[in-house]
Amino acid sequence: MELNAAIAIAALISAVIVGFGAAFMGGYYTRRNRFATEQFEIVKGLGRAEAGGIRSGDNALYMQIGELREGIANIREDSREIKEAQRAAVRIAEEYRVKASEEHVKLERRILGVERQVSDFGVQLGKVANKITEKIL
Amino acid sequence: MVGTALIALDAILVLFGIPWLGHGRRAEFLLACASALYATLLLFVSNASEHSQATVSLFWEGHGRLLFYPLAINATLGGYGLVANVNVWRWSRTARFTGAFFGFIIWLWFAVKFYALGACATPGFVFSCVAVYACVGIMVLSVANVPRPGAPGNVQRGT
Repeated sequence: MELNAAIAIAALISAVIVGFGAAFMGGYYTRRNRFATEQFEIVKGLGRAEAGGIRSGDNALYMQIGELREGIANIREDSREIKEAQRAAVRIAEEYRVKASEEHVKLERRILGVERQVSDFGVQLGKVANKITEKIL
Repeated sequence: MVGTALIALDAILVLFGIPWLGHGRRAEFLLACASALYATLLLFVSNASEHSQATVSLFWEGHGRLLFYPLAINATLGGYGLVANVNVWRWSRTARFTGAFFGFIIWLWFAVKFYALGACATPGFVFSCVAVYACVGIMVLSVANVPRPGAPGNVQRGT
């Protein structure tokens, strides 16, 4: 009986440790999944903005949006890159604001929407990074 | 005879199983089935615990049927968690995690007991090791709430 009880206690302790590990991994997976979903939404929005840029005939604009879209699609949980992408989105929106026309105003709204999305995304990612940093420290 | 049984099994899977299989649900289902089957045997076969090297000492100490309770808890929680995940019922994550937690303790106990008795070259030891691994996976997936509750399966029937 002693052997059975000892093994049971050891298995229980192992289960608690593994359970905490599994909870951490599951939480990490959830954050990664959320990141990928939000990233996909931003890239989709930028794709629509790029199409709008093509329709407007402003080559420089849609090329800029295309670069931004590719840049965001390649981001792998790096808040610095997110901030750069955010700045790029703001810069494009600012440049575009100068040459506003009726069609361009619609496109600008789309870009600003994307900019807000990127901004919210950056804030959320920052919170996640802070939590991870707290856990590590 | 075997062919007819396979055709019947295929029909049952197509009718009831296939739409929800995939995403690791089958592994959870099989683990819950293994626990439920073993718990049933322990309940109805008076000397069931005498048959395995890992549990024979419990049998001779008169505690053979104690094994029924953790296995029944594991099967109930794991089974409910899986059904709740498919049907978007409440407490799916909690039940899946707790079931896998109990499963981890049970199968690790079996694996260590087999190892301590020097009975590693047995089907029981091999199954216990695989079950321990599967339970860890289920714990991770349940915390991440994967598969998404109500998500249809991703298994396509072969042609």
